[in-house]
Formats: sequence, structure tokens, C-alpha cells
Amino acid sequence: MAALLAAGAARADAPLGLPSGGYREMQPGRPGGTLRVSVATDIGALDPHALSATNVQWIGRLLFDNLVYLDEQGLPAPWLATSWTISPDGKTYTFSLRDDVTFSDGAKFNAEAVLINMEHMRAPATKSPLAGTYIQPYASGRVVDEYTFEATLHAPYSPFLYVLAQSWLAMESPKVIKERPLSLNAHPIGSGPFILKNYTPQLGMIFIRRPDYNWSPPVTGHKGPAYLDRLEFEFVPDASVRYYSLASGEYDFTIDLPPQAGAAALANPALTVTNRVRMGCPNRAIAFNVAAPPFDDIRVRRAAGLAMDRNGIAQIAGFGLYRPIANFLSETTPFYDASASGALAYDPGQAKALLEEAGWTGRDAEGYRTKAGTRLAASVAIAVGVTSIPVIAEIQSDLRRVGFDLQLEALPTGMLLQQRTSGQYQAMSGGVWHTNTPDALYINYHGSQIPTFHLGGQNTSRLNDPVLNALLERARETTDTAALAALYAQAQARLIELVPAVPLYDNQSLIAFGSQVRGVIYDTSHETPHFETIWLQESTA
Amino acid sequence: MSGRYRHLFWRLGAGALVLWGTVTLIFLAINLTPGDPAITLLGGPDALPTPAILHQVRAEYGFDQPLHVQYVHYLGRLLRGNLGISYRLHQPVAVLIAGQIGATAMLAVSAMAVGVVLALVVALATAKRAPWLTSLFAGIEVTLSSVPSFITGLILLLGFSFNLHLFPSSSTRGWTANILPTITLALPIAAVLAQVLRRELEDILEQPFILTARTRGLSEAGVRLGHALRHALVPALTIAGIMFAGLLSSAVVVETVFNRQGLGRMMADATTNRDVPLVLGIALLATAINILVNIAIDLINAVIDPRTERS
Amino acid sequence: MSQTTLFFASLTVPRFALRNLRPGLTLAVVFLLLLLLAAAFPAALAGTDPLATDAHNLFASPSAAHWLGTDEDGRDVWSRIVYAARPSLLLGTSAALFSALAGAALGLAAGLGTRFADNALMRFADMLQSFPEILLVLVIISFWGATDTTLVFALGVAGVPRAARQVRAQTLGLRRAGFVEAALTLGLPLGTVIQRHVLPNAIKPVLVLLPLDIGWKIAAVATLSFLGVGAPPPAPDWGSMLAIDRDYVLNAWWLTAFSAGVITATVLAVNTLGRELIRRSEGRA
Repeated sequence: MAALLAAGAARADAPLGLPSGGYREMQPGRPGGTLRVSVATDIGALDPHALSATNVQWIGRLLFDNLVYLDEQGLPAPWLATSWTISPDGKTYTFSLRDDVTFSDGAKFNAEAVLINMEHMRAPATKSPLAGTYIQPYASGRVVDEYTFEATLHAPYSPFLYVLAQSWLAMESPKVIKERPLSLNAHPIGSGPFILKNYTPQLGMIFIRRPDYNWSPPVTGHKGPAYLDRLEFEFVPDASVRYYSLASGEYDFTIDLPPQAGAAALANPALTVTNRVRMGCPNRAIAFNVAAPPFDDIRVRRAAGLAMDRNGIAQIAGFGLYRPIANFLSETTPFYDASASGALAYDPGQAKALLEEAGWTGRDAEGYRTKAGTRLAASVAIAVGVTSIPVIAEIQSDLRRVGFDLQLEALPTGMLLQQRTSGQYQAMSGGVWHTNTPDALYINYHGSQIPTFHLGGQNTSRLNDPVLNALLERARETTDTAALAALYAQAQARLIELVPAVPLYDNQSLIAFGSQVRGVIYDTSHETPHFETIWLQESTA
Repeated sequence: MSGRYRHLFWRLGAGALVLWGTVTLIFLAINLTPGDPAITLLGGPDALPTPAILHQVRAEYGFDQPLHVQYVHYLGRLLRGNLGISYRLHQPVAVLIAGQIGATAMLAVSAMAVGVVLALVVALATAKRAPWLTSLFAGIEVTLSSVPSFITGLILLLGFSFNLHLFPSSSTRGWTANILPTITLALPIAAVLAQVLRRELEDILEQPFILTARTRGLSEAGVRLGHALRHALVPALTIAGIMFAGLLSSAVVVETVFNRQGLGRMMADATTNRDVPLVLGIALLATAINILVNIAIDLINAVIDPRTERS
Repeated sequence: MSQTTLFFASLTVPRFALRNLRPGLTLAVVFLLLLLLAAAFPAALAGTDPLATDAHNLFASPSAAHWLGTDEDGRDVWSRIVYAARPSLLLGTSAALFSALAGAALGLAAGLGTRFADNALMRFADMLQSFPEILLVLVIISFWGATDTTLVFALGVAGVPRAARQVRAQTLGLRRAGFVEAALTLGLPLGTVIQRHVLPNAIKPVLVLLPLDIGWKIAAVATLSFLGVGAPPPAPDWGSMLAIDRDYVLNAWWLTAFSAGVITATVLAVNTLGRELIRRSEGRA
């Protein structure tokens, strides 16, 4: 494991290396051909404004474009908006827009279109589970002239430009939004390099090239339309089948290479595997409810964190392809601060000492710790059929070794959500939160983000720490990089101190493709593949 | 004659009652269990809706209204032919079902056909033959009807698709991809039907009229096919019909194992995601099919053997 | 095999016992005894802790230390299979008993009650039966969770109409039977007559099918776990083991063979025994 880590660090997209580059087209490709791609699951609907699903990360780039794109350093760069100015108080953004962009239904892209899109994202009728919330500070928009759009915010909000680069906040055709918004779920219309030709739920999607496309993000270095004539996506939920069908040549490309196939894929000379770490909060498996016993005691939380064998868990989940991480932001997120990461390293001896200190000194018949007759136990609510069972089983086993009884409560979605909003749980399964800004910490750990009946928040730890809250709020208000670096460093340190959850391994985008596939570049916000630069070595009929 | 039509009318009426009962039961079940449909509608645990949006959803769908009001509205919409819009897939339920029903129906029909043909061939060939032959086939049939279909499916999938690379393992490349799922569904049907048919055939082949046919010079095949089969059909047909109605359940498993498009999987996904309108829509359809198939079986039986007709 | 085909199960059993079935029957009985031992005293058959994980020994091949190798968490597979016997057998048997008892109660009430009660109860049974079985189970579990109780209820409910119809048919027949009339004329109270004369006879067909039903229920428990809605982890359970093993065919295909094998063998053994019981009961009747 350690050898793999060391060897991997050298190459750009080696299994455990961090992505460096791969965002820019190196040489032009050859037009023509059909690419056959396998994907794990279908979302069922296709309007990015109305979805929060992971697939939107790459579907968005196929069909749509955004105002902004992140550059190779992770900073906002031009796309459909060629430049912008921010007022000194941070509340007014004025965008200058491209004048040569059209949607595939002929509608023109202009300031009016941007206004319609922003309204659509936050309209209650759209029921946006993500886009609407990301632009919550947006107060109103104004069409200054045909290609100038002014956005006014309630309060300064430094993640604004970053979220505008995410696929869920793409620009859809204003004509469709005005005339038949609900049709966007089955017939999305955007300005992107491909057009959706056919969508059969659970089965697949077919895209064809848009011949007059000419506005790829400048960062990608791509000019003109896509190279491929046609893309054929199919949904293949079975992990083994997804690997075998790629290896046998039935597909050229898979967006969801299952980690258990990683070794086989890496050993296969005909395949290329890329493994890129996404920005945002890494996988934490379990979030502790800090407002309820036994996790209201910080020593118990810290002990639980120290008891988890992060390397072993990453191995079980990722078969050597997932990076273990002990910080609340991934290494590729802007303002990631490595300094305090060691504090949560695997140390069962220290975990036991902490539990003793917290008063859990007794032992019952089955070997679990007790305090005044009560066993040290907690139950973690997991979603039936969704959470990774092998990982939770290992965590359970790790905690058992230090005398902690963690029980699983597998609940159907309805009951799980009920518990979430009412706060009646001791721990809840928690996965990743991917976003392209360190504001991910606000979303996951700020006091205002606790899920209740009226607010679908993501702070399942129910953490409400005034120090952390202040740090994250101030970070939202400033765009000064030095200030941001300091604030987020303190925020990460504070989280490591408080241990509302235990970060375990990175959120990674694992893809594989055959040797005939060339020109694959990656999205700067999501680390998913861009398809307009892909071309085939031999044109397939 | 009018007696038969009156009987049919009664059966249909009873069927409608059963449909209503099913819908009501499910509606009650869903609404009396804990859980907030609004957040489910918005995408479940991964959703981050604003309070305004949550409020909007609740108002639009009437979640904030008392249960009986919601029920009346739901029934009203149903009677007007409106099955509602899926919470998770954001499309009309009727459209979604229409999209998936073809695949499942084709699977069911071909599985039934293969199963019946296989059963007929095996039963006709092995009835009243050497004991070792009968017990061998009986053993195979008991095994096949015992093994849960997801295991049969997995074995076929892993064996043929992976190791022998004979059949494509995903569900999309033309008709060859339907072979394995069809066989998986057909085998238990064939197993049960073969046993029933063989037993009935063995009884019938002992009857005097069979002896008469043989002495008249009819060949063994002629005897079996021409005379014995018709009498053995009644119980077999009843079971076949019932199994057909139950194929939707088996389809859930087969569609999951082979990762195929279909109603079964859609229903399974809908229930785990609490997609209420879709669950209710498919439940209605499945129940209606069940009722119609049962009525059809009775009618066919009455035609084949008038003795089975109720007075 | 669904509940409705269970109803016709007696039609699938060959009338004449064949000598060649004897070894099958013996094997079945031996296997079931082993299973019962595994369910009652798992520690006797499997020395290792089924829950002990070892993140550094994943997917080990079968060896002396681990007879069937280790799984995706490094746990001993033989041990997990042995310990999974108890919940599988318990759940299957309880669900089958639930079907039998609830169905019998319903059938008795329908058979002994007024025409209105009979009609109402049978229409209710129709309702339950018209709904596809697995979907009925899925709906119940998806809304009430997958605890042992809900699983028993969900699986049991699917079998109630079938049992109810059997008992009702018998009860209707018995109502007019000579010995029942005789007992009533002799002055015995209705309750005693039901308890002593009607019930034992009415419930016979249900009892005869009970072993087969247990087999079906065990298969159903495995199917549900496979679909991801069965008993929650990490307790060993054959169905969920198979569901997880299926994802790791690339890494350790033999795991799938083991879990599939034990499920098949169990259902087969119980069914063989059940069919033998049917055959004997028909011989007597």
C-alpha cells in the first residue's frame, strides 16, 4: 500500500497521484466516429436546475455551457461570460457576455437569457434541490444591455462565481424555459457541443454533435465543434459487467470504473485508467450527532475518529485506488491546509485512553465499555441499499476493538429523512459533498445548515460552533486570497479539533477507456471527462 | 348464454372493487408511515432545497392537507385517468409505465412460451416411461422450481456471458440479449408445468379410452398428443395462467440480475425511493392484469372443459 | 415458486414413490440436520467469529485457516455461512407459520361466518392476492423498514390468501359434515366443536403444505436480501452475502458459488422433505 502511494505520486493520473494537468487539449484531433460509453446508473431526469445527482457533472458539459469556468489553478475564468467586474462592496457583479452563442433550438444567448435562467434556478416551481440554494444570496438581476448582465446579491458571497461554473447551474434555452419548462426533464435544450437525440430511461442516451458549436471554455484550448459524430451511452449497473464489457471492447469508455476492477484494468495493456480526486469534502462514512449522547462528548468523537483504521477502510472501499485522507477538505480544493491532518491518524491506543478519560472504564459481559452501568453504544442510521456496507462493517469492527458498540439501523428513505429533520439519531451515514469551492465546509458544518422540517440542510452533525460559524461566514464575504487562506486554514483546524465527522477517503472520479480513445481532458470543476475534445484513433463507422 | 355474460359482469365488478381496495390500502400504507414526501420528491438526502422550495412542494402536492382530502383528490384524478407525475423522475407516470411495459411484456410472453413448450415436450416424452427417466427429470424439475430465480439468473449470467462470451451481458444488443433472462424466467415455469402435466398424463394414460385408442392402431405419439393431452391441459392451463400473472414479481428479480429495462425494476426502484405516484400506478396496473388474467383463465377453462364452469 | 403455485403443489408430486428418490431424501434429511445444528449451535460448527474483520486479508482463497476463504471485509466465509443459518431458518419458518395461522383464522371466519362475512373476507383475500407478491413485500418493507418483525409480516401476508382459501374450503365442507352435526345435536358448545372437530381437519391442507412454504419463504428471504431490502447488515445473511459477492466476481468468484450453493441446497432439502410429506399424506388420505 505504501509502495503504491509512493510510486503513484510521481505520475499525473496514477492511481494514487493527485491530478496535475489534463485540463487542456494538447493537439487537435480527427473528426468522425461514434463513442460507446457505459455509465453505472440513470438519474431519470435531465434538467440540471432541478437535480442534484452526480451524473449531471458530465451530462451538463455535453449539453450545456456555463457563464464561468475554473482555470487550472481553480480560479474563475471566462466562458460564456467574457469578463466581469465586482463592486467594492461585493454585492454587484456585472458580466460581459459573448455575442456569438446560440442554443440548439435557435434561441439567442444574451443577458435576457441569463436573467431567465437565474430566475428558473430559484423559482419554487422548478423545485431545485441544489442550484437554487447555491444562488440563494442572489437578490435580483438586470439586463444592462443585450450582452451585459448585472447580478445583485443580498450580501457579499465569494463563492458566487465558483458555483456558476458548476454543471447544475448551466445555461438552458430561455425559449424552452418560458414556453414549456417541464419538458426540460426529458428534452433538455442547451448551447453545448452535443445535442440529445434520444433518451430511453434506464437504458441509454444518444447524443449527436452540434456542428456550429464554437465556444468551448478558453481554458480547454479547444476550438470549433466536437470531433465525435455521435455518443452512445448505456446504463450498466452491474460492476463486473461494466468492466468486462469495456475489456471485451463492447464499450470504448466507462465513466464509472468500479474500484474492484482497478487492478485488472491497470494490468490490462489495452486500457487507460485515470483516477482524479474531486474538490469538496471527502468521504466521511459517518457523521456524529454532536447534540446527542454519546457523541455530545468531544472525547468520544475523537476516540471514535482515532479508532478507525483509515488505510484499511480506504482499501476495502477502493481496492488501493482511493486515497485515505484525514482532513475535512480534499487536497485538490483551494485553500486545503495539510498542517493539522496528522491529528486524526489511526491510533487505537490513544482512542482507548480518551475513552477511559471520558469515564467509560467499565466492561460488560461482551467486552464493550460501560459507564455507570450503561454501555457505550450508538446506532448509525443508513439508507437501505445505498450506503457502502463493507465500509460500515469495518468501521463497526474497528470501534468494537476499542470497546464501542456501533449498531446499524438500516432504514428506508422515508424514515431516514424523518430522523434527519427531527434530529432523532446518534449518527447518520454521510458520504461526500462535492463542490468546487471550500465553501463546502459551510454547507456541511455551518450552524444554519442543520436539516429541519423547513430546511433541507446537509449539516447532519448538527454542529453549531460559533467560532467555526464566524470563520465560514467571513470567508464568504471576502475575495482576498490571503485572507481566505488564513480563514479556511483556521476552519479546517477547528473541524479537526471538534471532530463532527471522521473523513476517511477522497471522492474520486475513476474512468477507463480503450486505446483507440484519444484527447480525453477533464473538467476543472468536477474532474469528469470532457467529450468535445475526444476523438477516435480509427474512425468507427 | 346470458348467464355467462352476467357472470363475467360480476367478475369484472368484483375486480373493480379489488382495484379500489388495493389503491386504498397502498395509499393508507404510504401515508401512515413516517417520512416526508417533500424531501424525497426533491432528491432525498442529497438535496439542498431552500425553505421556499420546500413550502412550495408541500403546497403544490397537498402534503399539508388532511389525509382524507388528499385521498379524495387522488381518487378523483385516477378516475379522470390521471396517474400523476413521478416524484423522482419528474414525468407523467402513464408515460413512464408505457415506456417500460414493452420490455417486461415481451420478456413475460416469451418466457411463458418457452416454458410451456419445454414443459409439453418433456412431459409428453417422459410420461409413463422407464422409472429412472421419470425420476431423473423429476429431480431436475424439483431443483429448478426450488432454486430462487436470482440464483439461476446469476449462474447463467456468470457462466455464459463472462466465461464463454456467448451472449452479451448488457441488455441492449438486439434479441440475443433476451435469451438468458427469458431462460431464467422460463425454467421454473417449465419445471412446475412439466411435473403437473406428467402426473396428469400418467393418470390419463391408464384410462380405458386410451387402451381403446391403442388397440385401434394409433401410435404412441398419436395417443399422447391426440387424446391424452387435451385432458391434462385443464389443471396445467390454470397453473400457467396463474404463473403468468405472477411473472411481474419474477421480472423484478430477473431485471435486476440482468440489469434490464422493465416495469419490475422500475417498481422496485420506486418503492425504495418512496416515489408514491409511480408505486401506485404500477400497483394498479399489476393488479388489473392479475384480475384480467384470472378471468381469462376461467373463460378458457370453461371453453376447453365445460364441466369446470360454475353453475 | 409463488404462493399460488404452492396451492397446486400437490399436483406436482408424483403419486408413486420411486426407489431412486431415496438417496435424495436421505441427503436432504442429513443436510437439514446439519442446518439445524448450525442454527442451534453455530459455535460448534464454526470456530471463528463471523464479525471479525481484517482489512489486510481481503478475498483470501480457501485455505486451512479459512476453509472457504475471506470476504470483502476479511471475515471468515465458512463462519458467516454457518451463523447465517439461524436467521434464515427462523425468518422462513416464522413467516410460513404466520401465513398458516393468519390464513387459517381468516379461512375459519369466512367458512363459519355469515355469507356477508365470507364475501367480504374473500374479497379482501382477493385484494391481497391480486397484488404481485414481491411487490407487496417490497412496499411493506420500503415503508416500515426491514426489521425481523416487518419481514415476517411482509412475507407472511403474501401467503395468507392461499392458506385462507384452503381452510375456508375445508371448513365449508365440514360445516355440513355428519360428525359436526352430531356433535352439535349432542349439545356440545359451538366453540368446543370448532376447536375439537373443525379446526384440526380444516387446517390439515395448510399443515401439509407448510414445509414447502417454509422452503419458499427461505428463498424469498434470500431474494429480498439480494435485492437489498432484507435484514440489515452486518449480521451474516446468505442473500445479502450473495448480493455483495456478486459485485466482487472479478476478485473472488468462488464466494458467489458458496452463498448461492448454500441457499439452493437449503431450499432444495426443505422442498424434498416437504414433497415427501405431501406424498405420504396423500397416500393416507
